[in-house]
Amino acid sequence: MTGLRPDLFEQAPCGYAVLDASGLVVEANAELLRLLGRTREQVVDRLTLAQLVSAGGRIYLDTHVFPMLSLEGVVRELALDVVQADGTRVPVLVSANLAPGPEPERSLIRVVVLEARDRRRYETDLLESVRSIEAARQVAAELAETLQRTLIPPTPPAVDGLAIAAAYRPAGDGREVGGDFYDVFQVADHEWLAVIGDVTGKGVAAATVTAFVRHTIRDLAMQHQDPSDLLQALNRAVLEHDTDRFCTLVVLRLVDDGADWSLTGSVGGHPLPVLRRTDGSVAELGTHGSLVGVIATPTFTTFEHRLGDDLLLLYTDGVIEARRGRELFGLEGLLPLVAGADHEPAAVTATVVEEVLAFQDGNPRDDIAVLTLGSARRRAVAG
Amino acid sequence: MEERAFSYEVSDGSDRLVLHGDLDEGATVQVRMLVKEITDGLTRDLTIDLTDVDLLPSSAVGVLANAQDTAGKQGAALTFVAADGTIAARVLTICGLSYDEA
Repeated sequence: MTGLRPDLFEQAPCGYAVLDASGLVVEANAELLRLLGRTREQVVDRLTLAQLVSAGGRIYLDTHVFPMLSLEGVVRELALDVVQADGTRVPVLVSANLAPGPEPERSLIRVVVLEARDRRRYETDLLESVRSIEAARQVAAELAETLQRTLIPPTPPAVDGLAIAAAYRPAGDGREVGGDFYDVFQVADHEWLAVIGDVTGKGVAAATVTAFVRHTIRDLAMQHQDPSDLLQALNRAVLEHDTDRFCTLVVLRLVDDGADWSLTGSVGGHPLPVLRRTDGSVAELGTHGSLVGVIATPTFTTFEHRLGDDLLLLYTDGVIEARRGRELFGLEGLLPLVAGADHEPAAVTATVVEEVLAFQDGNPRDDIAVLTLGSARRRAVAG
Repeated sequence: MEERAFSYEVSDGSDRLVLHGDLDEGATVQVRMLVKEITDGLTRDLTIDLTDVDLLPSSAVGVLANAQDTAGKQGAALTFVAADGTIAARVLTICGLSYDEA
């Protein structure tokens, strides 16, 4: 205290104590005594620091703090509870350093004690917030899954004379809604529309766009006979609806003339449908078209095909973009697979999904949607 | 094999942007800003070489197509280059975008 007024120590705005090597309090200022709720006579030269903290704190002091002090010479920001004479616990932050003496047993320990009621309250609040965020996230994840179930029809409708096999596999752990979707719905007597598509992005925001796209297609299907006209109208609608998101899709109109299905289709920024003939030969069908919802003047081309005994596979880019390191599954992987499958829609869909999953060790980085169509009227010959 | 991080260089007196590696989400944002900057807000011609790109998700293609469309409206041409058989060539084809092979 040489040259300094004693009250600078006594009235310091933090609790200050000096301990001897055994941990006994040999000096204590007014603020510390206030925190402890005890008088100087009750504390100084009578109690050790360990006797002034909670039981948990005592163990912590013995097993960590004092060993660390003798090793490092300093400890900082320990969160402890001091216990007042009436049993009230006061959260504090403690820092201490060692003032070495001529021998270890004559060393002193300087201890600063700061009241931390507010800080502890803040931390408790923070912990509470983290818990409620986690709970909200859980709810959101469940909501996303529910939303996804509404977006992916679990089973396509039964269509007289048409065999349909659909499958959907979300990316990764499946907790995030992806943008892949398919839809099969009736537009007139003997007339159906089949759609497969992919909206960019993931999560609920993408899912709402997916829902918008699906509903808009259902609307537009009543107004536009030509699938390319439908895509032009959808392009305008998506451009107006959302500036950032866009989609890729294949639209097929299937007309049943009683003996055969005649198809007209159009493709917007999407992989072309794959045709499998009864002899096992495979080929892409249609013409590539623009992404839907990016530019004001896109190009779409309508193609026609009589289904006969052929199968038609529609899929999303999660199939051919499947990667293993830098190796791509690609069309090179897909076409032989389709050629080698049994000539049944269910067999083609199952084979494609299984192989693409296996290629990525069962953990796809993108959604996979697959829809295979075939006439159920004539009995197809296995190819 | 490991995925390659995105990188790029500008050559031919800033008329040509060459992209390498994965065009993931972060890289796509970078490319969007880069293209705007090089072309003075999509008002100057630019060739974007995608031959050495390993990953070209449709979100990235959307950004490129959008930039090309905007540039076109402002009288500038954005040209894509992808060598035959590359990932970029296939993805651009699927997305209905034309490209040069060299």
